[in-house]
Amino acid sequence: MGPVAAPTHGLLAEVLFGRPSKLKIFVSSQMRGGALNAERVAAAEAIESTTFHEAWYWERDANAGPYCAEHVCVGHAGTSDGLVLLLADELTPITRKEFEAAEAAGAPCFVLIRDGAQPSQEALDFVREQQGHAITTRFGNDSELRTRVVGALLQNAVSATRRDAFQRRMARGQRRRRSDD
Amino acid sequence: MTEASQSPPVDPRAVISLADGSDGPADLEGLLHDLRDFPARNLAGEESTFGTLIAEIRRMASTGDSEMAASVAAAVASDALEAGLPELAAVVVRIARDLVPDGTRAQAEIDNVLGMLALRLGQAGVALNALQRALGAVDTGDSELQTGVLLNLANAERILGDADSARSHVLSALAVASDTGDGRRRGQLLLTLASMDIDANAMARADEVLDEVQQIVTQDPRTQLESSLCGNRGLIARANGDLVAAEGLFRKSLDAARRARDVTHEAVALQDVAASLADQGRLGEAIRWYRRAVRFAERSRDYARCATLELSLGRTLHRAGRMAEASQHFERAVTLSGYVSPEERAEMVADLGASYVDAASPAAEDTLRGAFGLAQDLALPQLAQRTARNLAALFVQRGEYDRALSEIDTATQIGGDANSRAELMQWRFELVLDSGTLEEAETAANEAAEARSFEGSPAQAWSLALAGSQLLGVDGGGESAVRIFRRALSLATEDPHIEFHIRNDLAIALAHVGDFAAAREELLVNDRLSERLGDRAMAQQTLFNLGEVSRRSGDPSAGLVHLEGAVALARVLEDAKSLGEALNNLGQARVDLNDMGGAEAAYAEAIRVTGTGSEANDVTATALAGQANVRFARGDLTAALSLYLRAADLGSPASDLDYVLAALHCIAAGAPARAWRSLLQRVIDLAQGGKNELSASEGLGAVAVVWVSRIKLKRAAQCHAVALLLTGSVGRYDDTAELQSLLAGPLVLVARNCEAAESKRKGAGSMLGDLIVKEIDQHLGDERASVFGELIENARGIWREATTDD
Repeated sequence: MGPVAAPTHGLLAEVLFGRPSKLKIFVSSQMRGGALNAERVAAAEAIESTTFHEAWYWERDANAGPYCAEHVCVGHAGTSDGLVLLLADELTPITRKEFEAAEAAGAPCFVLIRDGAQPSQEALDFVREQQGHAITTRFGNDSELRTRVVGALLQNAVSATRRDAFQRRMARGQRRRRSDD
Repeated sequence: MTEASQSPPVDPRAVISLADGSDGPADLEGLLHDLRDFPARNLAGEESTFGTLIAEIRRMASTGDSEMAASVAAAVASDALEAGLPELAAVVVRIARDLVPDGTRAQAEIDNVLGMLALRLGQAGVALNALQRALGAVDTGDSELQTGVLLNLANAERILGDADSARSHVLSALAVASDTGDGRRRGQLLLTLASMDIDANAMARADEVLDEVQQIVTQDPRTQLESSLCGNRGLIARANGDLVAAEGLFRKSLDAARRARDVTHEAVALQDVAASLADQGRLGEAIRWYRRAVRFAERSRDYARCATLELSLGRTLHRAGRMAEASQHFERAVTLSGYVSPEERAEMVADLGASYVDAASPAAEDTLRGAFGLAQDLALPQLAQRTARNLAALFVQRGEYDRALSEIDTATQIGGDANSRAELMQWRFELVLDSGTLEEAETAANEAAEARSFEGSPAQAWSLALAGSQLLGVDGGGESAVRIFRRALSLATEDPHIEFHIRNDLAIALAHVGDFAAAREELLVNDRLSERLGDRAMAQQTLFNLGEVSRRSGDPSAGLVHLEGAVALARVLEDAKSLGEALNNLGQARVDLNDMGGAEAAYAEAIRVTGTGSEANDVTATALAGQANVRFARGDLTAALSLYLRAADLGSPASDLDYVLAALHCIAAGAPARAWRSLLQRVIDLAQGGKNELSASEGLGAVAVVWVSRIKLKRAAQCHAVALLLTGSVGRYDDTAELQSLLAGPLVLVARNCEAAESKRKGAGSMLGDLIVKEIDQHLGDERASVFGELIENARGIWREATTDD
């Protein structure tokens, strides 16, 4: 979490302090027909319940105006610190692009599939492809959705801080060796 | 005025002093003599010279026509400004100020030009004074001059951060312009209003204002308003996250500026295109566009823009990792910073200091201290705080933790918003965790959580939960972690999902310190919670943790039952990662119960279901290592070695070290030894922090056994001696007895390796043991004060040899 993370990366402090203080988590899903409207809000609430994360979802966060929804969504997904993809029957082209943009930017992605959904073959193939790269799991109710979202974000934060600590120790050892030499 | 010739930038403060007369009497006649042949145009646009026009202005004033004199002077000065010749404009203003009477329209016109000149030279405070004087002198019926003064005044106020006054003055100007029906002026004012709305993040309002400008542009497509209109639309698209659309609009703005031959807007558009490319992460292209913009601004002698462009270019190069180039551009920005406001100058110096930190320049500390001083003088607490943080980052980089902590304390005392303070306290905790005692780290963790109190108890709970996880990762940090998690849990009562996760963490910490009964109790509370909520995800995680706690507490049978339940639920949830983790622990439980076949099956399934990828690698690596352990136990060393190496290639850096050490032990136990040297190098590379000395000594111990197996006992003894000394180096000692006590732990390792060696070569273990004792005795027999340092030095030499010489 701290700006000191890795002296080898120089003023990471600037990067961290220069960005919004909360991590932006993009909520992605099919929006047509409002099939996942309630789940989107529940996911956003779960994200923000962690207090270290801020959800970005279209219904609440997009400014009105004559702008292309796809560009805006993909732009936000690509600049997010993480992405939660909610999946029911269909994986729309925009949703796939959002996922790809977040993944390309190195953001952790979490795929949550609603129980009882009849995912298309394309959606099933996509989930299978992602199983090694993203957390993929099912949820049957609101509580399971929240447990998974909160757990994944906490796990992610803990891993990041531990990686940071490890890198700091590595750097400290290298420094010590240099000064010894 | 014709195109300006290239010459070094002037000193903005000196030019302003010349213009407003604040530097006392100036040698105006001498200046006029030097400039008299400079080409210029009169009011009718006819070719003339500067000297001729000045003579004309003086003649008009002497005949009492001060208004005409002021108009000509204002036109010449504006022309000079547009051509990038502020010093010429300053001379005209100074002469005209001496010629026109106070409180007249003529004076208002000259003060208006003085305001424009000051704005151009980054002297917004001077501009504000001049423009307020002008506003006081201008006749309300003189709509053109009045709207011009109001617009310039609003710009000065915007720069000085007085957004309300700026908005009010633009609205006044709009009212005047609407009465006169001057569409072009109205368009300019609406654009300024839209810019203010964009600054205030009021995008919908800005959009509406721009629609009005669009109507004006539609009626008169040749106006220069089109470029600004596209530019502002681009800014809104950018704020909305539509970076592609923003780039397109900025390019349109550039085309419009070129069509209108409007150099000012051309420079702005070039800068905007560059910024939009940087936004999209297209840094190489952005850098090229910024360079074009800099060249353009230099040609038009717009040094204020040059300064900001150099700053942006430096920041983009910095992002691209081109640190040395970034520093150069920050240096140029600072050189030109006399043209921008003192606040912007302070930003530039601060950025230069930051870039020096990255470039490991010795000038970093002085530059940052300079920036800190500027920020303090200008009462810019945010910048002062940022600079103090950067100083802290510099000291962390140098390993000077005490000084870093002192800078963090300085930054905290500056104040700032609560969130910044909370971040600083979080950073402080991490530094203390690295450099202080566990007690101090625990206190710092509590203080960091306290700093989050403004966000409510859930935020404090999360802060503590993360701190607890970090404490748990430190040797001996278990008890502190338990206390921190307990406090976190007491604060996490509002949301059952957060409560669930923190209680899980608490249970893990309790198991870590060996309090299995308490751990089980906490997990049973979570089990009841999952039942109440009908939450299978909670139930799965609880079973997983119950299984692990039971297994570690010495009840593998109970562990097996829980873990089988966790596996079954993970299958239902189609959660590949949780399934892999549960299978791995199930495999370990089966090993505990001596069911090697069952364990291998569990590990094989874990590998199959998780595969590889960023989220799966650790789980797969654990499964591979589990399989390797089974093979090792069966004596299949070659297979074990291969599996450990595959695990090491997949695992996270922290676990990687364990797998490499395990692979070395395979070699020590008799597996083909070809890879030992590169593996040892990996141990050395990885074992740099925390438990590094112990890990390194384990690695060396394993290598020693390889040498024993080749009857190189002397070399092996040296290796073990080094291993012991390295491990001992973690503490200070006062006498030999204390050193022996420090070395007690590593001696166990040596004994283990001697035992392994014994099984390979008859008597080798005893011989090795004797040699080690001899080596250490020899060193400890030395009574010199620096004995320990020398021992370490010797150790290092042997280490180096060990890695290069078989």
